[in-house]
Amino acid sequence: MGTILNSCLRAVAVLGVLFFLYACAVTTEVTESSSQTIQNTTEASSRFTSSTSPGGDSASYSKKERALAFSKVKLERIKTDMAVGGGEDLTSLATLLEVPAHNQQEFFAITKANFSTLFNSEQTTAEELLARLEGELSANAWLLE
Amino acid sequence: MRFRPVKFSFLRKAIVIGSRVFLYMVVLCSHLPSSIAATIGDDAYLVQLQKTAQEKRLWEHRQWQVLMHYRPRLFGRGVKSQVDDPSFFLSHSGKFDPQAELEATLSSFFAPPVKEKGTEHPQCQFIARYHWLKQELGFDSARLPEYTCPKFNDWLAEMNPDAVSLIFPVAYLNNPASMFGHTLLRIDSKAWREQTRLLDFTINYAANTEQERGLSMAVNGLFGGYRGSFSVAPYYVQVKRYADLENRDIWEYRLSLTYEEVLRMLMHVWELKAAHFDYYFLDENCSYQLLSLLEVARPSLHLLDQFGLWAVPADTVRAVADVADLIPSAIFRPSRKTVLQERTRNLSPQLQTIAKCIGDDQCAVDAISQQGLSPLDQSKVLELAMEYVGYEYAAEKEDTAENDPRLMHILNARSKLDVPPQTPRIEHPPERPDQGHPSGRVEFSYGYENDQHYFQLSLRPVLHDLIDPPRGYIDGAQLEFLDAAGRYYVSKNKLELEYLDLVDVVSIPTRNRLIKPYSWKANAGLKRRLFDDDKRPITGHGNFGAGLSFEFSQAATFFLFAETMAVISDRFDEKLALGAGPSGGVIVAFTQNWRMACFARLMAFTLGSTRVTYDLSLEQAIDLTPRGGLRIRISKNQEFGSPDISVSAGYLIYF
Repeated sequence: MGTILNSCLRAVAVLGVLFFLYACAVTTEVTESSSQTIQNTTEASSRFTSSTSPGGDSASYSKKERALAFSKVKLERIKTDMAVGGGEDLTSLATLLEVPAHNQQEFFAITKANFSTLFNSEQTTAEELLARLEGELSANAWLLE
Repeated sequence: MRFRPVKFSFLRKAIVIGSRVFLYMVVLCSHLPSSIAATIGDDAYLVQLQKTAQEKRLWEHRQWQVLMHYRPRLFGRGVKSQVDDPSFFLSHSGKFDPQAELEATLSSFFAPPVKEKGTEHPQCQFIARYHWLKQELGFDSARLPEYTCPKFNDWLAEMNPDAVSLIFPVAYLNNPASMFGHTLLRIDSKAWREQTRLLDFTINYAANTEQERGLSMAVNGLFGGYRGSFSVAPYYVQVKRYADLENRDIWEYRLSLTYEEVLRMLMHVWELKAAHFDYYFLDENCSYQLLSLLEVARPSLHLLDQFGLWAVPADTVRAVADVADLIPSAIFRPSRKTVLQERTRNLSPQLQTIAKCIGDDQCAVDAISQQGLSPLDQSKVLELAMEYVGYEYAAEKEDTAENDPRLMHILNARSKLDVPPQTPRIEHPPERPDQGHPSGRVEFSYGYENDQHYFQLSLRPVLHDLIDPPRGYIDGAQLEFLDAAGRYYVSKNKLELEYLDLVDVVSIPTRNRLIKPYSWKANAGLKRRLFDDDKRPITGHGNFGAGLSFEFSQAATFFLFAETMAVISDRFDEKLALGAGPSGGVIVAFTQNWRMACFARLMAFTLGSTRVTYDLSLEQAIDLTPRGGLRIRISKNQEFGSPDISVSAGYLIYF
């Protein structure tokens, strides 16, 4: 009886500890697994992130570079915001592109109207999108005033 | 004893000459560059500063204690820093000796300017210590030159801090790695508005597990075998991770820290840039270390004192919220799943079906215009389809759907509709996570079972069961750890362990037309079971089930499982009995303070025993106070002995 009880205790203890620790590894697991599964997230933000990590290179990055890093990570949300005509991610991108708040509604309207041009395929990349947005902003320079 | 005047005369001469030499040197030094003069004057000024520090006993000051992460050792054996990186200390004994570390720190500030590229002067490397000691001792810049810290200044300019928010992505049981939630800090920048908080930076603490899993991870995690460190990342990366991919709602608690407090905290984060801690999953984990940063920001906070053997993220949030006026406001950021559920709720079943059909690529997007729908309804349907595609894609591929052709077709069609965004406005849940019940629970009950009256005391350290007060917790999630009960039989005058559940997890997310998650349960522990000889020995068990859950109304959830169970006891031939069978139940919330759970299970054992066992139970929870309530249970079961009826009533307290 004693042996059985000890075996039981050992088995359930190991099970329980494994389970709990697996659960408790929340930050680690999320962080580590994310670095694999959100590959584009970490790639896109690596330079941006390292620039601001404690002790990283202290170079200050331009809003354009920030816009690219942001767009790489949040391309899906930017895309959906543009199609519906606004949203938090598109507001953030407009801010990084230095479109003042009072012109952002017009910016949203332009990106919605030109959605199929800005995203001419599902493979459109963040770099291509930003190049096209630059073109739109050049053609509508008043948006930046 | 006779004195020798000659020697006195010689000594006097020596003093006079020495004084002249000293004066000459002082005059000479006054014409040297200030940095060189300072190094020559170092020793005297350093001694003076160290003496003042001793007089003021600065190493005992709360600010020094929190900057160095000193915590009391057991049995009054002084203190020990929780930082485990030798490079964080300037004294060899600094980890255990606050005074030695303070004196060594002062000494380091007199170091000559660094010439190697990439190396920082100690004044910059330990910038929070420097500024605090400067304030306490009033450094004379003529005698202790102050160096500029361009790397820190650039970093600070990049952060451009205005305020700090505590970010809490809630728990998510369907991902084992997210069961307890997580916390991080967001530095709210002056550069951005409330609408662009995604662009802020966050400070995160995590362990580097190097992708280890299983037993090795368990052992390392339990005994501090991993290194934990702080890192910085944009908030939009975190939002994508938690809200978009893991479907976890996020609470953003704006903290009422002053600019000086925020600056002090960031200076300390800078000090920790290369430092590591031994990471303990139970106590010195992510949430615990964030509290240490808040104590540095405002040393009058005593947050870490509230945590001993374990630190559950929700409890750490509660500890911060319990500080008067520290959290003036909170913002709820719904996850992708929450938005999808709300969009679904806002549409009729017919429109939901169309959206799903489009999202599944079984209906052409263009067909929507032929359905006779108004542009507004078309927009709502397309936006629901768009959210659905994003949700499905993330669930399947653990990534976002920007390259999915289905999404492209939907968005092209949506962009052609002249209708403003139909993003649903999602109200804050009535209760925040910090306003939920504390995770600990103790219950005192009286009961009757197997012709015996008993009193029972049960203790559950963490966290929540399906009929605990739901406010502040996620729906359909139970996570209990180390729930144990001792039972005293009146007639036998005997106290014995009744059960010990090491872990008991149930996840019953409900399914609807678009979202179809699976339910699951797992538990392992010890429990007394009745056998044919009317004895109730302790047995071990492990149990797993998978199933489906449905919501009848917002007040009732019905679930069905297929379960397997292993029972370990020397009463069985192979010491082990294995069984399988169905189970089901319903959770009903009659009112906000009255809930009920009904449960039934049939288990047919094939290995080790040929019994068919059953469980029937009905349990009610009635909240009497925010931290206490009644539990009433009635159950009938037959396991490996005769049928048994049990009735009990108890009062429980959350702590």
